[in-house]
Amino acid sequence: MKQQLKIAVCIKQVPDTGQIKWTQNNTIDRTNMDSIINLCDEYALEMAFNIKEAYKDKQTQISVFSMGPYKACEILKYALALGCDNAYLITDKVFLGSDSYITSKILAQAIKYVFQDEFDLVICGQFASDGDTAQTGVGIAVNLNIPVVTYISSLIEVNDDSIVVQQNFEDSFNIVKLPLKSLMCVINNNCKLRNPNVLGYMLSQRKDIKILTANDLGFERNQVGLQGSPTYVYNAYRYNEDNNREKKIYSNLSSNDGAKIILKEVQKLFDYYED
Amino acid sequence: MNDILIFGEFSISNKLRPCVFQLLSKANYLKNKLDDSKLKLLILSPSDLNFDEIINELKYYNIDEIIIVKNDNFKEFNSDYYYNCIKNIVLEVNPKIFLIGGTNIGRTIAPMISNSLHTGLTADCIELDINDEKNLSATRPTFGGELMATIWSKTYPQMATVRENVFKIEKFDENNPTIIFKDYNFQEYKSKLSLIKQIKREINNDLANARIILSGGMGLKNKEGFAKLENLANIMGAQIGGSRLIVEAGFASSNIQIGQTGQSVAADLYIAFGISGAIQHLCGIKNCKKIIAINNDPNAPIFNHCDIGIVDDAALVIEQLENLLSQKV
Repeated sequence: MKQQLKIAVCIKQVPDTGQIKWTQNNTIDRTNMDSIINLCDEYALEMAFNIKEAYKDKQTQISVFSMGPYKACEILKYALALGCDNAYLITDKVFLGSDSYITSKILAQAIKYVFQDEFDLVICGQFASDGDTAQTGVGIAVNLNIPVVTYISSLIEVNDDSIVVQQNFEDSFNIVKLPLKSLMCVINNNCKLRNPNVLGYMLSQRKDIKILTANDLGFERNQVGLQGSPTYVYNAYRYNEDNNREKKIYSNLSSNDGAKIILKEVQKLFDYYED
Repeated sequence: MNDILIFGEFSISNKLRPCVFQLLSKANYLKNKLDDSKLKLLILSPSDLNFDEIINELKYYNIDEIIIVKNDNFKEFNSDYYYNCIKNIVLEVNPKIFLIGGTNIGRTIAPMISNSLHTGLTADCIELDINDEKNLSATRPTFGGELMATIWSKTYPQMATVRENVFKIEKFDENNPTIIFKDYNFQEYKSKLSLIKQIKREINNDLANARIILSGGMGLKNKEGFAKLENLANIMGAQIGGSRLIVEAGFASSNIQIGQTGQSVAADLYIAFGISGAIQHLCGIKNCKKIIAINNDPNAPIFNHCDIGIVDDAALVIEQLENLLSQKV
């Protein structure tokens, strides 16, 4: 039995899309936008800690990876404070504009570079709240040539050389066994997430975030970024589908008058049902 | 090499999922814009399944060729076996466009195929078209559903996934597609993943059939805010719903999520409290007869997609509604 377990967790920093404010010109007001750790990735970290705790007699080492600008160090520091052992920031201006195909390639290459194949699990969030392509985790697995299980909602048990999880599909819950050396994509399951404590923050101060560049990972400029990506955004715009809605907007009513308008509509409907 | 290939995903009861027929309908529109294009459907099936009924159903979509690959490893979903086989069939068929339903299975398989074939994939499209260069033009929501992006791909096959119920089913005159049965041989290959147990999921239809829905978003700020809306829904005899963000924040349970990732609804009256109106949410409520929106941001997108809009703090309006209703009783 192997005594060591090496887990890589991939996380992403995303704009807080819950707080988006629009300008009058239909552009997003980015001036006051916060950056946060992607929610699914918090569950990916939680999963890594749960696995570490379940493997009582193994020595587990959790390394966290993020690709992005220097600002993404914020979420790597957070992961270190939670108790991750190592943190890697994958950053280079030539990576700018990479689509999910290229991003998977870069992340997979970073994992290979750091571990030289000596790792047991890669854990990713199922999707990112900004792009929501849900492709990067799966893509990393293909690039690393390891099995992947997606839409994982919970950890059922750990065995010597395998892990059992619940996978959620539209019409079934599947209990699936995956081998060590595989990739897990985790969804938000509303479980309680741990918070960093003071000791965690103090210990994390002593840990460095290691930087990996395109040069370290052996990528040429034309292989990555916008140039290397098979897809590109031809056009982006604010959604304004034509619709026949009345769009009667009340801007200066008291809350009481607003409530009355709503109740009138509800009443109309009840009258209609009674007829 | 102008062909369009569609992946025919089965539901747990071995019926083709609605998204397959929806994609076939849309593919007819795309095919008409391409020269000399054939529409093909790929189905993976266990060996013993009878196809008479399925093939009969498929006669109304102008399909040129149905490829049915049989192997007992396709009894349940296993990403390794599906990926291994689909990849080889795609290489063989060499389509220009490959479309897959945006189900959890589809969204697992699609990136496996695209990454291994080194081609582009656009997820969760809400519109597909053919551009002037006779390539796929795929439009999808991005940035948390606040922006639309039209994406082009430099590589082939051009791949896209589309969520269930985004496109409508459109039937055509009866035709007779060529049916090709294939046995697939995995030889020595054995997946390291194994299914231990499969539990059938009960689908909650309360929301899909609801006549009045009160739905809450992040404008309600916290769990207590959402609980107040639930209470109001109880008093009114309405169903309760929630946006993706309020579910993700843990203030509402995931089985009441409305939108592309949750359920699509068609209520007579839909009242959105503190929901800004991400595209995915708007897609899920577009079949409601009347929509009322309450939001304190006058620029919130939902005000362009409602019948009555009230610019106000949703929590205050909920409080007033409660007051008015208690006076009535």
